[in-house]
Order: sequence, then C-alpha cells, then structure tokens
Amino acid sequence: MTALETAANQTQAANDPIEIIAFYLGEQQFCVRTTSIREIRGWAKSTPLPHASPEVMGMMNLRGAVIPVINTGRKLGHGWSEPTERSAIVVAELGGAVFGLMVDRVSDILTIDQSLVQPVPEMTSGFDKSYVEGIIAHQGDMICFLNLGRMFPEPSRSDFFD
Amino acid sequence: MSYLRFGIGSDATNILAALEEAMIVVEFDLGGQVLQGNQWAHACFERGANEFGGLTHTALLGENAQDAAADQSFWRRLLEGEAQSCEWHYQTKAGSGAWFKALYQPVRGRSKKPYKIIALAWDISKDKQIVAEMAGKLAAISRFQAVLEFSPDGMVLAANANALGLLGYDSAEVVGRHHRELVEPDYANSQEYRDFWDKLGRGEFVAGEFQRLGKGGRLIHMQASYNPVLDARGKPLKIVKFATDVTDRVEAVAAIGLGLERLAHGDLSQRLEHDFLPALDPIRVDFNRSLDTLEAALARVEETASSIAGATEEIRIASSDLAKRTETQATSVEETAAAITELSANIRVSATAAEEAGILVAATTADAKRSGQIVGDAIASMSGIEESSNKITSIITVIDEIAFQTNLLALNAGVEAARAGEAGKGFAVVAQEVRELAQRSAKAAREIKTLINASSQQVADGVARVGETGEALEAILTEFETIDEKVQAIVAAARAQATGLDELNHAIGSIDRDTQQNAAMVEESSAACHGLATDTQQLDDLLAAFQLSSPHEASNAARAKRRNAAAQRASAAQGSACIALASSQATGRPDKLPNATAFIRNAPATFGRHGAELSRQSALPDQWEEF
Repeated sequence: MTALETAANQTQAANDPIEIIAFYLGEQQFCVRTTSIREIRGWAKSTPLPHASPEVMGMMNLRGAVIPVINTGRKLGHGWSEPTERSAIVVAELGGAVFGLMVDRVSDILTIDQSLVQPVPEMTSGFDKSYVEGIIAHQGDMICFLNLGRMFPEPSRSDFFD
Repeated sequence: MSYLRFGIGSDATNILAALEEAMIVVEFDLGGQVLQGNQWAHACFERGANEFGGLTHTALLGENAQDAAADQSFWRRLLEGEAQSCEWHYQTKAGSGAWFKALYQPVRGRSKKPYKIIALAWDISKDKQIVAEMAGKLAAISRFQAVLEFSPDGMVLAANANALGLLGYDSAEVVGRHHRELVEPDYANSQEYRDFWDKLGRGEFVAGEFQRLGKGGRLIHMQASYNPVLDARGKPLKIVKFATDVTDRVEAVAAIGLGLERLAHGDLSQRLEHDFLPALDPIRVDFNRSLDTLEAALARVEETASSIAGATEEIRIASSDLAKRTETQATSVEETAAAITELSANIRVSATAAEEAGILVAATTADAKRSGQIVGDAIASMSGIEESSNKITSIITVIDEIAFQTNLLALNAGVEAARAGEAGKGFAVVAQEVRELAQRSAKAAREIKTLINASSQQVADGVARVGETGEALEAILTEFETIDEKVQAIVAAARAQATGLDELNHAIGSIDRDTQQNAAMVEESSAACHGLATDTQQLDDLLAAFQLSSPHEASNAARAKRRNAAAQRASAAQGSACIALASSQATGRPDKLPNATAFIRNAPATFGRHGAELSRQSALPDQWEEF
C-alpha cells in the first residue's frame, strides 16, 4: 500500500491538479485528498468503544461494517469537538482500513493546482507538523492540507482494527 | 203874721190852733221863765200843764239837754227883738232822746216892745239822724278819701287832710289855685281837659281813674269822682271830688302790665323786684313764680329742643349714611345680579361643555373599547402569524435538512466522481451543480429561516406592542371611565350650581326688594328727619322769641347756630333727593335687571309729586328711554 501511495504521489507530482475535499473544524478549514475518501455521511450517534484511544469517539455501522469514528479536532490537538446534527463523518479508506473522521462541516470539493499548496512554516511548533502537507490559500481562506497517511501511520491503523 | 195883723181875728185864732196842732209851742217870759206850753209840749217834755209854769228854759230841757239857748247872747239878742233859732236835744226819762228845731220869736206889743218870747219847735230827730248819718258818712269818706272842693270854674275851694297829704301841699298852697295846676301841662291844655270841666259845668258827674301831679311834679294816681253840687235850679254850686290814692295799685298794675308786655315779647329774664302793696303783692310773687316756672320750662324745652336738634342731626347723618349705603348696596346688588347672570350663562356653557365632554368621553370610550377589540384581534392575528412562522420554520428546517442531505449526496457524488478519475469528470460537474443547488437551497433556507426568525421576532415585538397597546387601551378605558365619572360629576355640579344660582338669583331678588324697601324707608326717614328738623327749627324760632336769664345766653347762640345748620340742611336735603333720583336713573338697566328696574320705577314715587309723574311715565317698559 505504501508503495502504491508513493507511486500515486509521484504520479501526481507533476503539475496535475489535485482533488481535495475541504471541511471545517471550528473556524479553521482543513482539507484532505479526495482519492482517500470513500464517502461522506451525516452524523449518527456512535457507540463508545471501551479502552479506545482518546481521539476515538466510538464505533459506527456503515452498511453492516463497523468502523471507528475519530474526533478529528482531538486528533489534530484542537481539543475535543462536540458533534452536532450538522456534523459530518468523512469516511476515509487508507490501506484497506476504513474509518470515519468527524468534522463540523464539509465545505467543498475542490480541484486545485498543486502549485497552490505551500509549505508549512517552520514556526508551527506545538502542532504535529507531520500531519500537514501544506497550506492552500483559497479565496481569502487558509486551508490546512492534511496528510492522512501521516496522521494515521500503519502501526497506529492497526490499533483501530486489532 | 200879716194875716194876723190885717186878717180877721177868728182866722188868726184858727191859724194859731192849726200851728198848735202841728208844733210844740212854748211861751217864755222875758226872763226865760216858762209861761205855758201846748199839749205837744206836755207830751214832748213829759210834764203836765201845771208843771210848766215857772220852769226855766234849762230846767225845761233837762240836765242833759244841750241848751243852745243857755248862751246869754242868745237871750240878749231875743230881748233886743232879734229872732233866734236853736236845736234841742231832749233826753227822755226812758232814756231815748229826740232832737228838736226851735224858733224863738219875741212877741211884741203895740209899742213894738217884746213882752214875751214864743218858741215854736218841731221834732227834727229824723232829719238830725239823717244829717248825722250824712256827716258820719262824710267823715268816714273824708277819713279814707281825699276830698277836694272846686268852684265850677275849677278853683280849689277846700281840701281835706287826706287830699293835702296826697298832694303834698299845705292847705294854703292849694286853696285858691286852679285845678289845672294839679294835672300835667299837656293834659291841661287839651280839649279833653276842657271837655272835662264843661261836662262838670253841665252838672254831670265824672268818675274814673285820673293822673294828677302832686307837689314837686310827683305823679299820683287816684280813683276819683267829680261830683257837681247843684243848687235848687240845677246849676252847679261847686264840684266835690272824692279821691282815693291808687298810685301804688296803679304802679303795681303798670308794673304787672309792663311785665306782661315784656312777657308778651318773650322776656322771661325780668322779675318784679319791688314789693307791691300787700293786697297786690301776691300777684307780683305769683307773677315772678310764674316766670320762674315758665323760664325753667322753656329752658327745659330749649334743652330738649337742643337735644332733639342734636338727635335729629345724628338721625339725619345716619339717614344720609344709610341712604348712601343703601345706594351702594343697590349698586352692589345690581352688580351681583349682573355677575350672577353672567355666572349663570357661564355655568350653562360649562354644563353644556361638560355634557358634550361626557358625550365625547362616551364616544371615545366606545372607540377605545372597539380599539381594545381590534387589539385583541391583532394579537390573535399576530399569534396566527407566529404559528405560521413556526410552521414555516419547521418546514424550512426540513428543507434545510433536505438541502444538507442533498449536499451530502452531492459531496458523495463528487467524491465518487473524483475517485472515478477522468471518467467521473462529467459526473463530478453534475455533482458539483447539485451540490451548489443544495447549498443555495440551504442558503435560501437559512435566509428564509433568518427572515422568519426576524419576522417571528418582529411578530413577537408586535404582539408585545399590541399587548402594551391593549393594556394602554385598558388603562385609557379605565381613565375614561374615571373621566366620565368626573364629567358626570361636573355636569351634576353644574346643574346643582345652576339650581343654586337660581336660588341665589331669587335671594338677590329678595335682597333687591329689601333694598328697595330700605331705600323707601330711608327716604321716609329722611323726610321725617327733615320734618323734624323743620319742626325743631320752628321750635327754635319760637324759643328765640323768649329772652331767658343770663345762664341761657349761651344756648341762644347755640340756637342761632342750629338755625343756620337747619337752613343748610334744608337745602342739602333737597340736593340729596335730586342726587338719589339721578343715581337711580343712572344705574337703571331694565333690559338686564327687572328687579332693579322695578326699584328704579318705584324709587321716584318716594320723591313726591314730581317723582310720581316720572313713575307714571316710566310705567311702560318701552318708554323707559324717555324716562
């Protein structure tokens, strides 16, 4: 999978446009690659999972398959974000593992030039810089471009499913 | 005797016999011895015929007889042949006496020589008594009266002691003087005086009271009668005047007369100081006492008159004040009546306004109630709007939810398209459009929701406002009810005031009538006061005719002062009457003040005939202007 991912990234290294899906956590806008997203769902109450990681909100039933739901705010170090009716769960598939990311709102599906992705400033200490692939300035907003592969590396992925 | 000498003897004898039957005849010899007496002599001397002889004349007449013949010259003249006469008074043995007149005649013989004496006597007791009586009367008269005798031509012949004492002359001074020297020269030269003596000369007596002059010109009053004494042929021999001194009485009467005359002229200060003769002195005392009493009475009258005059003046001043005050009161009453009329009009206007206000309040209350209902309706409508808004909101929520879900679907579609790569490009465009539609729907739903929320808020505000309006209307209604009560109270008060004003007007009318009556009474009082002042003045005038003693001199001055004041009052009273009439005319306003009109109409009646005429003219209201 990692080789596949790298190959994909390499193929896209050319100035091809990249597909991203943008969402809000609080007031801040984040985005991930659309290719790693399976679907987007409305918020449904998740069943808490005993002894799970603090960022894991619980389990949800996705057409018969049980997947973990991650509190993305907590995962990104912003603190626990409370779900609302308008919260959404972005279902991502990474290396065969499917999990849900709870976000406050999905704002857009965008196709942007890769050149618009700017590097993360070095001064962003206190935030796990490795999660951020870059910053996209879009229509006056700053969108933080998250790297799901670094957020959920292989070993940690197994924690959700094993 | 010639008969005896030449007549027939028997006739002489008869004559002698007749004489002897009529008279006492006593014969004496020349020596005075009684020879004989006739029977009358016997009876007279109470002796018998034989007792006469040899008695002397004295013995015959008795021891107590007054014998005029006892005088030797009597007998000597008889013996010389001269007839004598005398009177006897014979005292009878029984004690009674008689007077006799006796003629002694010598009886001569041939030789013409008396040879005896014959005495012829007759009883003159009655004559003697008469004479004695006359003499006594004369003496009595002479004792108390002055007796003067005048010759017919007026010369004084005699005057008794009383006359001399009365005149103050000696006998020698008056006898031989003419009567005219005893009267005042003017009177002596008057025709009246000559007539006086002419009348006496005709033998007529004059009696009366006369003024004569005594010695030194002293005036003497006498009550006298001048009595002519006539001889046998009726010719006056002399005039005898009997006079009584009445000077004191006349002077007293004159003093009384003078006093009465002064009294007639009102002199009460006089007194008769000098005593009168005792008989008349009580008159003087009574006169003085009468004057005292009269003076005291008049002084008292004057004091009373003075006090009446003072009181009258006070009454007049009071009456004048009262008249002024009555006039002022009439004016005040008139003004009050006018003010009340005005007030009545105002109150009527107020009552009308209050009633209109009440109507307006009632109308406004009805409007307010209707407004309250409208407010209620508005609140209900607002509630409906609110409800509809809520439904819209829920619908919008559903729409929003649908838009959300649509968006999610579109996103998934987009995700699927993106995952499909080039194949999914077209689908991605569709999904994007769907998503945009969903977003627009959501946006529209949000906007609608915002608008609905704003509308709901505004509806809520409107409901609150309308509620407040309703409360305000309720408050207004309550206040209007209060106002209505107040207005009703004002209307009732205005009506009560109108009633009260009617009563007040009635009372004012009564006051007006009373004022009229007061004015009439004041007028009567003034007239009475004026009459009283006039009477007092007349009384003063009457009193002024009396002159009182010195302590009342001051009051005379006061009286004169009062008279002047009364004269001024009289003119002032007429003036004030004119003023009162004029003021009545000036203040009359018949169109507004019927009572005052009546007062003015009545008022002239109190100003006498002229006023009555005015009153008659003013009897018709339309002739008022003429008045």
